[in-house]
Amino acid sequence: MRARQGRLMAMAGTAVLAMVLSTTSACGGDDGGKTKLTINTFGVFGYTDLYKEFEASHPDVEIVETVSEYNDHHNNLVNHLAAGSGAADVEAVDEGFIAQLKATPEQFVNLNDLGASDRESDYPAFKWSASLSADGKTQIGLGTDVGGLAMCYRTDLLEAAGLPSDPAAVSALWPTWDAYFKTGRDFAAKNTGVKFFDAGTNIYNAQIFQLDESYYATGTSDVIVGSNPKVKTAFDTTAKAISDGLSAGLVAFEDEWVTAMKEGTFATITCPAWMQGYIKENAPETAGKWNIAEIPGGSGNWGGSWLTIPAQSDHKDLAYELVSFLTAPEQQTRIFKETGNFPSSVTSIKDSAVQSFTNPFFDDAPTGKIFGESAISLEPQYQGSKHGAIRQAMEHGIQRIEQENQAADKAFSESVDEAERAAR
Amino acid sequence: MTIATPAHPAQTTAESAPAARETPRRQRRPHSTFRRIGRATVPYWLIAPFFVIFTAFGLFPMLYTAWISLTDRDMLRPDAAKFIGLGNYTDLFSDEFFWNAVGNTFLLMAMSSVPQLAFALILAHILNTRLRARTLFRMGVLLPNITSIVAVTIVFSQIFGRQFGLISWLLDTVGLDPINWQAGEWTSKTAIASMVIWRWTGYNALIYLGAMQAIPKEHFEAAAMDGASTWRQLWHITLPALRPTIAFTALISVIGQIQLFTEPLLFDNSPGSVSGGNSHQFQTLALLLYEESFRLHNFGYGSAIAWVMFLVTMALAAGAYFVTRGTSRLTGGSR
Amino acid sequence: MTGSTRGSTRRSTRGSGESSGPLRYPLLFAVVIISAFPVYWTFMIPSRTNDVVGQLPPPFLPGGHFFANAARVFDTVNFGKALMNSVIVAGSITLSTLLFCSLAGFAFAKLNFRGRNALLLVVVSTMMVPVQLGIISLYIEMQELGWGNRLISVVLPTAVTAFGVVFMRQSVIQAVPDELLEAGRIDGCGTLRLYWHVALPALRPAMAVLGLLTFMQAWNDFMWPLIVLNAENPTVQVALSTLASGHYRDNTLVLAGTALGTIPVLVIFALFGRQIIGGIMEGAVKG
Repeated sequence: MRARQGRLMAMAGTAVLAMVLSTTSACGGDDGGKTKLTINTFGVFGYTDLYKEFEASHPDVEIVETVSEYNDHHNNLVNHLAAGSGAADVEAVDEGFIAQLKATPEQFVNLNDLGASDRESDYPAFKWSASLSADGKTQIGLGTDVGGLAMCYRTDLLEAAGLPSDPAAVSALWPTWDAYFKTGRDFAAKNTGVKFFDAGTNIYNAQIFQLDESYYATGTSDVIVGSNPKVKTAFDTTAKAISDGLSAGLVAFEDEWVTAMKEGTFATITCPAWMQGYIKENAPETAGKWNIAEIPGGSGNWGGSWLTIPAQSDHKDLAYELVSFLTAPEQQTRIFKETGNFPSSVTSIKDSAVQSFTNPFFDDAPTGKIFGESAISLEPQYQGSKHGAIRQAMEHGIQRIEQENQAADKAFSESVDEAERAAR
Repeated sequence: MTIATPAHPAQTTAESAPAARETPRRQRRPHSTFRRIGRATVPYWLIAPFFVIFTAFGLFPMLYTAWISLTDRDMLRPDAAKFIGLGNYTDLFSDEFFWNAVGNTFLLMAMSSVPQLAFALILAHILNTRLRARTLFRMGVLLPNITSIVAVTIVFSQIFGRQFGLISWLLDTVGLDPINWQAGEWTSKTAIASMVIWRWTGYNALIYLGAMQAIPKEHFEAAAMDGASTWRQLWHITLPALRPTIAFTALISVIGQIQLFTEPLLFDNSPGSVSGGNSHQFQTLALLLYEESFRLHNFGYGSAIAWVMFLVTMALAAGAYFVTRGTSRLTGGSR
Repeated sequence: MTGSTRGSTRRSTRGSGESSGPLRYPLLFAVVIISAFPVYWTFMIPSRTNDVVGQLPPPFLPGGHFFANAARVFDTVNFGKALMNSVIVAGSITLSTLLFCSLAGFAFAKLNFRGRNALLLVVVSTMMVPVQLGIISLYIEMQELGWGNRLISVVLPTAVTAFGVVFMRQSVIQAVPDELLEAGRIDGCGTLRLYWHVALPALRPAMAVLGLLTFMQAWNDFMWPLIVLNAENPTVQVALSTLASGHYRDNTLVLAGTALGTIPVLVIFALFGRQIIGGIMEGAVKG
């Protein structure tokens, strides 16, 4: 028995050793003295080819990108900044978290010191100032894109319900949200087996991002989520639409949402420019079945990102080279054509290649025009430091209505409680 | 601090309830010390690593957590921490999210521990018969336990998916409506409890099986001659003999459930959410601790939650100790 | 008390009876199928393609795409590094646990020293302390030590466990007779040589069990690595949660990763299942 056990131990030891060796040899080869430059992103930035080009021009650099879920990505970043280690050399930051992060500019490399000030004139004023520290001295990030709002829709599914499918005619259907919901009720009355929109949260958020003021009183840290009547209105109209049966009740960005996008079980979806990338990437088989109309209720901006360099990075200069390469106007133009993320560079926005671009995936919709018109003159909404957490609390309420049939008033008051608790 | 005793089955059973399990012969001289060896300091060097590691990474963090729980400390601004006495604790006791998490934790504990241990007993009873391919069956029932909780939760979340989950499909084929498992107060807890039950039933069954095999065979032979069915034997002979083992497994299971974390974290289908569902319907104490500390960055408040969890654990362990001691005295006395 | 019957207790290995009814095999098969099904699912789904997996009913038989999906895992997350990290973490924890716990167990079982019983009681008591409730401070501590995001911060806290110490003490008492140590002592062995030459050989079976259990537990550990490590330097479990929470929930990809992360413990289980089961049935395992 003892001998047998000894043999087993030896076998176990050998197995472990073999695994160590095989994994090291598998990973050891490609390092070869190269500098590893890490970049953390979320969603669809569409940079894969650009990394290859950068590596081609920098033979001793290897770029490693980690893509995480949106909330996880930003929370990890905050935790790693606080910890003083663990952040990547380049970190993408979305509009929902930039206000929180620029409040501690010392955590980031001041890109102005590395030459970013030359780029100021190329950004719309709102994009440049959104990532600038309060004293105006530290620029923590260079913009990648902006999230102007539009409405994507399935031409085939609208036609099946007897509605027009031409973008101009569709835009004319819903100048306001009320008109959009009325169209939705007409659509539902046709009983095509398809829901009008994907998720209440996307409809609700679009309305919130159209407001001049949402969860924080402008320029302050006062949370007004419970007292701002416009927030309540956005919540209530969304709740009404849900109870009218317009929502597919999906959880946005979750896997059943992706599957539904493939299968075509909803007809319209709120489309900030970056949503085009999600649709194209998640449901490539639906190419040509989509088109893009105007968003009801006027322009707004949802999302859009910056690339930042944490002060803890060991390769600041190299990281800045990468950041300025990725955010250069010509790359922003290219990303726009490939994924749909709308440029935040004035040069790029005014580029005729952008202005005249039509997206074949969306039935040649003139996306350059649709997203371009409002991008330069945008008046951004003020966001306080816990905007992201408040937004999540409000989304919970919408989801409770969709999934648990909670009454709208109760859902709203519970969400406000949760939001105020998160922002305390 | 003798409440520690029930933590170790060999001790519980071998020392306080000897008849409950096999005790190898050699152990009849358990505490004889090899007196003549050991220079003065050598033994201390041998046990030092444990005490160093425990002090540095167990005891110190516990005590430091106690200190942090008395402060208002933001993870991002540790220098701005200020002492607020028991403020976090008074906030905690008036926080509906805390009580919600307490309720969820205890409900999940009951929903997973009771069926798990009951199934394990029945399973052990069946395994304790003359079987072909005995080892294969034992390995089969233990398989869930060796997979990681992360893996289990990923697979179960897909099986419990609302529209495209396996169970919804099965319900659909028999003409029932699919269930949105994650959304409901009870359905979500049922799904999470089922993951726990699935993972731990076989493991507990093997512990029971070990204990059952230590019951002298004559007891069963006598009962069989009296015509007692096998299930009556389970009730009248096996169960009483297994009482200390059952108490031990119950305690371990309960302690594990207080810290239930991975299942509710990964079961949440809202991307990036750590709140245990839209209504926090399956947010456990450990998940609330995580959300407060590492999402909302309230280290002080999170530490207060940690200490409450610690005290509850201690109280349960003490309770279990007294119950076990009571039972083993009873069983000891009846022989 | 029953002390007198202890030694003579016959082990009822043949079980309590054969008459549990004709249902016992079907019942057991059902239990084994329920136990194995999710594991089967973990390996079957990634052997198919996403468009097949997205259908209802889902496929129930394996296809030929496992390696293609497994390759995608390595492209999507840093899985090679995750595997290596997990091997390093679980391997180091196992080795240090075996060494330090057997030393301490030997001391507690066989050496006489002042305060022994009190110290043993302390060790046993710490088993009740749920260490992860100190995670906030532990996190701060690791950052202060400059070990944030480094594997050492995962290895050290569990490098020697109370459970291991108690388990090894019990094993030494059972497996190392005093007479052997006396003999060694007469031959002039010092304490450490007694440990190495006399105790250790007799402890091999017990150490095999402790080592296997420790390795599997360390391999599967999640909460603390999740908090202290990041996506560039993950263990397998942390990499899996990154994979599962990414925007593109892609079942064949996520489950291919899950399968790859499960293979090592499955291999160990297949090779040493009997020993592991033995260890658990001895009641030696803390949950």
